Amino acid sequence: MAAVSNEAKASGKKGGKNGASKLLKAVNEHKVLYLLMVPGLLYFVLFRYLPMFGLVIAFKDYNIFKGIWVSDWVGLANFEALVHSTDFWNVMKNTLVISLSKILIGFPIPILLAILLNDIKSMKFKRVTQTFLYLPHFLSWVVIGGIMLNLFSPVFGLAGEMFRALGAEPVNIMAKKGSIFWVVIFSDVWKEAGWSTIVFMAALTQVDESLYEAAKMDGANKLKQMLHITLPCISSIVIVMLILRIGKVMSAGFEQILVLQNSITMESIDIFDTYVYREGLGRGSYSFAAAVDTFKSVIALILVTSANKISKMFGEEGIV
Amino acid sequence: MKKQRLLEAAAGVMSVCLLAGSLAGCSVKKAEGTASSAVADTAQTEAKAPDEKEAPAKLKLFLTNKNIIDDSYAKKMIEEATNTELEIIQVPTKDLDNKLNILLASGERPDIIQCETETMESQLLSSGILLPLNEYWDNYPNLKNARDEATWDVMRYSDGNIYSIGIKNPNPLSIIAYRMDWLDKFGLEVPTTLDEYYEFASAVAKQDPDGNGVADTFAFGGYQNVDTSWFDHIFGAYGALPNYWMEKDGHIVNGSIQPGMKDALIYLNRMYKDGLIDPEFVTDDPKRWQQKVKSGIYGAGVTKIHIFDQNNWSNYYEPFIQANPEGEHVYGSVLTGGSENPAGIRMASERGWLRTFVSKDSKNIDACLRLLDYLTSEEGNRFAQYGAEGEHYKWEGDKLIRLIDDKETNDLDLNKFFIGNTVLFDHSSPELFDAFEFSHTICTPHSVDGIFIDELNDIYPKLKEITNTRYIEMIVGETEIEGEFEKFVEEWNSRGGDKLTKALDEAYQVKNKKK
Amino acid sequence: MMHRRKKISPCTILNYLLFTVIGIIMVYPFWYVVMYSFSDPAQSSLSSLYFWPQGITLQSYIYAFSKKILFTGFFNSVFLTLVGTAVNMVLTIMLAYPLSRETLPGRKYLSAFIVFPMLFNGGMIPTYLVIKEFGLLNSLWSLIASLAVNVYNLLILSKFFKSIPSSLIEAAKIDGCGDVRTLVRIILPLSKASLATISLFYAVQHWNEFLRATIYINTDSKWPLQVVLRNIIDMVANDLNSGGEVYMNPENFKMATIVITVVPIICVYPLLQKHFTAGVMMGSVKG
Repeated sequence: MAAVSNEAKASGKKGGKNGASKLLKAVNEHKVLYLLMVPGLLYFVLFRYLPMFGLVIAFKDYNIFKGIWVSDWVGLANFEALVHSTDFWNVMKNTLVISLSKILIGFPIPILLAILLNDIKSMKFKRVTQTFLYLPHFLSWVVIGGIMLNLFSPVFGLAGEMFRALGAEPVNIMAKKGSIFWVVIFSDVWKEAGWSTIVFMAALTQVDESLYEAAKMDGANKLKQMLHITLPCISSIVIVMLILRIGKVMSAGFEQILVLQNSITMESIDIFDTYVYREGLGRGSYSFAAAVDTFKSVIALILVTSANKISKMFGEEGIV
Repeated sequence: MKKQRLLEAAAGVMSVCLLAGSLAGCSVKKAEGTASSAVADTAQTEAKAPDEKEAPAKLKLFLTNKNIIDDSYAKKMIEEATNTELEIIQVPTKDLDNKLNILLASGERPDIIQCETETMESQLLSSGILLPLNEYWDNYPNLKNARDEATWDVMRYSDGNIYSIGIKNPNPLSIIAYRMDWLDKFGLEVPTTLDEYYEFASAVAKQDPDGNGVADTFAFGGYQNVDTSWFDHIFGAYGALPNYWMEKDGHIVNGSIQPGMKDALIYLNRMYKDGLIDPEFVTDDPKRWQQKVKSGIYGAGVTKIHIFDQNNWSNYYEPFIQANPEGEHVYGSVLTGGSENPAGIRMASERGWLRTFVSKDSKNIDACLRLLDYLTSEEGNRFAQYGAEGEHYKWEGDKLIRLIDDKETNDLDLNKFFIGNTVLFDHSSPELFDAFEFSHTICTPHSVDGIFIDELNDIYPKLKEITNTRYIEMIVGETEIEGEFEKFVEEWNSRGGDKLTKALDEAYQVKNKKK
Repeated sequence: MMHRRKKISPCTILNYLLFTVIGIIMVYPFWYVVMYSFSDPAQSSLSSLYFWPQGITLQSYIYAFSKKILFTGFFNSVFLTLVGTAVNMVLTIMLAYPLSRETLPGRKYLSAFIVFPMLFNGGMIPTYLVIKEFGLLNSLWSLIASLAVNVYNLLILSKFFKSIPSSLIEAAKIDGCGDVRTLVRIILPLSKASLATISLFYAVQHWNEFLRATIYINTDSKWPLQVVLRNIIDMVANDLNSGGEVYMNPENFKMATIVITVVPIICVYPLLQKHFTAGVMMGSVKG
């Protein structure tokens, strides 16, 4: 027993010395790769990490005339103000519910569309359809909001006329607390679904066609093919997209919510970004805005690392 | 081995951060430090005599966007008249505050600064970077006389100085108006009581006055908030205006929580349920509302005074007449029957919707004031709006006739320099002046105009939001007014409303004692 | 070769039908915008504009193109998009490839280093100060430099690089290829679809640049297209307080500006579509 452990200890010690030189050797072997990364990393240091000194604004009472350094430290006061504000829990709830609903409904759809679209054999039809699919992505929410308003208005809109044609009282779905939630979710899905298919289409091109042939000969139908060939092949991309999407949970769609909010629906769809836009930046209070941003970032960090770990537990690779 | 790598990595990251941090620290100090060195410079330039004929002074202006082109006719003429060279940074209105904050935070001090919001103005005033105009304007009589004593008083900051000059616009810009042709059609007189009003409003909404077979006419509409005056004729009839500071028995109160408002809301709710109010008012925006007004679907409510100018100020009258050739408006007075002291239409601030400031650290203070002086003089003011006499307009008696159309006006960059000017109506129709005169008889004064206290910025925006939401919920019937109104008053007070009212009242008493 | 008659299964028909319906739903708002832009303002009343323009006119477009600054804006945007995307792709590829190699020592820490700024950023004012310090203010380079690498795009590209079978890379190494040669000769040609995708993402971001341009750039001759158009719309806004260019209806004009900005970028994707051909991997891995 002792002999084995001594041997182990000896090799362990050797391993220690070997470890350092192994490391150097490995680095040397890959030095070209490291060199390739230098310009990109330089960008990150200069333009992403350098400005991070601004994170202190969240802990100060920032006055733009005094400057970042001279402004007073207030520690966690801004964060306390945030958490204790009357609207905090409402905004938190809205942000999470809206974001998660958008993911739940809006994440699988582009994958499905990409797979179905891939099946279309006519190149012309495919191209035209793809172009149509991502058109909504290019229209800003201001424009789409305006169009939705025109369509759904109870008096002058198409929806109003349809209601009356059916003999019912027109309802302004954009002015009711309940329906506005679904308007938000579905309009977002509609707007981004097409654009999101692009990445999945690219992923599908990497699937080996011969696998399908083999499966067909084994008698697998379309559904089986999809489940056992397509999905597993693109799973690594899907996981990456999902984790990245989860990282954005705290930003539930600023421009969209801003456009769709009105006096009645304001509270029911208020999210962090719109809240901060009004209460923080709208009051010239950068400190408060910075505190909310930091708060969001911390939560996003926790979510991303958790999602990353979970995906690894399932045998997939995460993003780190 | 792993531990080593971890430590190395950590050390690497930390040193990068330290390096970044120190670089940042130096650069920030440098960037923010340009402000202090500028101050040192101006001390010297101020000593120079200001009236030597020198090269044109270079001024940097930060203005709200009007699309002023660099070498346009108007810009060149103004530069010539004031011996300046203007570098203009224009920003779309919505992004104005943000960009200004960033510029100021980075140490830049444009010579002339504009802003629209009170938040920004408040920040600028308390910052100490602004020039007190009153200390300099003895040399600039046009500037000094551009506003009367009462207006300057409202622009005075708590330290007694005046730092800004704002656009002078007619105030109020709204008026209670009815469709004369529809009144005739139904054989009714201009309403003077709430009951008469309800009668006419019902007729407008239910008896298809425009005869197109569709139920698309309403008493009035609005956009999104209750404090943009579209409901003022009803609220005012019951004695107060929401989101408006009013004087009552010598003290300042806010209209939102006055008891009369509950009855007003009941009246409005009844109107809404009866279909007399355009239900789209909750979701409409200003543009859509304007379109509706021009297409002539509203017949009895508060509207913009522009509709009375038959010379088409802001393109209101002509589209309306085109869509409604028989259309005619008549203005009406405050409605009685709801309160013994009905209130009228709310007024905007006399300070003007766009205020211009001069930076204390400017290297060319005299040039700045020269520019302001010129643009507020009668000659400069008229030029900036209309152009040169004989070339772009001519006089016919005391009416001004424009010789160029809107497109050319725009190409010459006329009517784009909004720096402390007075908006002229020399070319407008007499109906507009009648309307102006009348509107002054039916408005309620802006009691706290010019009073700046910090709590206003922190608390009031939220209170206004709550008022809008709760009021609209009650009007459209999402909540029951009975009980909800009392809850709202409690909410309003508990969110800082009573604190704010007290603070404003105190400041108001102080200001009035000074008089 | 066996001659098979093509069987049109009900699934296929359903598929085509599905995408026809979806296509219509997706394209309708854009059609609405186009319609509006060609409509005569006086006739586009509140409720009539649904399927066909009313009173076709080129008024809005003529007005837009009469503004000299539109062309400056257009060229600025073209420059920004082409140069910006080129810089983006070079830097992103140079980061994505090494990160996709599992054997790279310290890969985890480098990844973390890169992901962190995606979640935390210093804020607009500090970033502005840094850009000012580097003397990039008031130039399109400020926009290019400040977002030279988008972490989101980088991670996706890295994942795509990773999914290329390592056997191919090993084969290249055995043949004596260095890392750079492997990248250029093997990885990039096999990644056409993902490269096209990521370039598109970057290009669109540059083309739509608005907010940061208003902050970093002061001179109107250097503004990209979106800012120019937004400014013109602002001017046409029929502002009740001060009067705007009242002879031009703001809504119709706004629609024309949208068409002007969206059409060029829409044309880019079809050009890239030819890179989305399936079967690039087929036959490259034997056994």
